[in-house]
Amino acid sequence: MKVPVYKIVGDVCMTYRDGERLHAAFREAFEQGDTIELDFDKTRIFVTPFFNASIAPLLEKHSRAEVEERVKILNLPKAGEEPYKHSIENADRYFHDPHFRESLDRVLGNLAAEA
Amino acid sequence: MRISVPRLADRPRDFEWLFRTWRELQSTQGDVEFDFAKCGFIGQNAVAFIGGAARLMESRGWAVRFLTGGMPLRVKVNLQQNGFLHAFGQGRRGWLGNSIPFRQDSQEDPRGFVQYLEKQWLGRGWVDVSAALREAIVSRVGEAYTNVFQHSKSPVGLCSCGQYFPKLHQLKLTLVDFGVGIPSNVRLFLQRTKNLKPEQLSAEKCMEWAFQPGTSTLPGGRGLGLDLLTSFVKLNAGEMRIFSHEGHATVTTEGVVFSPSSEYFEGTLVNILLHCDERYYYLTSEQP
Repeated sequence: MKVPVYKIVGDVCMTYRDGERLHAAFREAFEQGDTIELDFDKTRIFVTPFFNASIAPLLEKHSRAEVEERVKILNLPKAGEEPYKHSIENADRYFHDPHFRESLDRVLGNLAAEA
Repeated sequence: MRISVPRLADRPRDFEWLFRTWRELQSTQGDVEFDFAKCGFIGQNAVAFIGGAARLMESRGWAVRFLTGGMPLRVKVNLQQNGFLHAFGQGRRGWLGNSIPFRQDSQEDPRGFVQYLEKQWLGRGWVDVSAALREAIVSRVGEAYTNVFQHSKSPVGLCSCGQYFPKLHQLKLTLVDFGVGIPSNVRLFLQRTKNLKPEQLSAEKCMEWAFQPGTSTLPGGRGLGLDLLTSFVKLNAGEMRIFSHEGHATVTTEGVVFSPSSEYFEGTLVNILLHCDERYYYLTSEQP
């Protein structure tokens, strides 16, 4: 399934809500086993919450390897590479790495203890 | 109540004056006049903050006036040029100069805000950047913008203002919201998920938590994106200050320092300083 991102959200990928709209456009096909091609041609501005809503939710029930295999990112401008990578890495760590969650909990515990 | 506005740049004591004065105004709860007769200079941070505070007071039914009679000419021209006085019905429309216009986003308007950053802040030739780098910078500041409408619950949205200082080679931008603040959201989240009592975490520690990559008060721990903006400011050899409640974070090339602020502000203020010079900046991936 090919998804032209510009036609769904325009050239500015900057809201969580727009990310949810993009996610809704392909989630069902993804769950049915399709490979999704997200074409970012004509898009320009990107923030992490957009990817948090559009792609990161897939990592709750699927591995990062599977998501990267079946969700192809096409024509993503340079400005989008870091927020996308940041979003996926954080979500992958949070959902799949128990040590990351433990470390985060330890940080929280330390912060509370120092208070 | 009449407020005599002093000289206000973006030194720590200037932010303290703004936050302290706002606290005093809220306890007064009445009509307000800002008197600029003793104000020899007003920075973009003060314009954005006073503008946001004025809008909030207006939303509560108070009358707000800015006394221009005794205002020093330099300050009056600045407040006219950046459109601040016009925004409050007291002057002509702003015009192009070294100011980046005062702006209020009462509702989320990402395209309008992107255009503001691209045309008014980065598109005036003060910092020579490639198109790809401009989009990357705007994307980074966009992270802070999105955070306001996702997290802050600010009743007046976001107020912004900027200024170019050619002799100092500095370009500054301030974003301020009058919402619940970073520490409030963090404390509520930790109370709900980790059973931590709010008093166990200082505002300073909450700010430190919010800066950690991967933390978020939204389900899934997907990150606020503050660390991306921080990385860029460090690379630019610029500076970023974030104030929220009694928490204060300062970002420089040395790193991020968290410290308590001596005055409380219930919302969040972000002050960004970019260093400008004659060099042409581009992404390393654009190198031939």
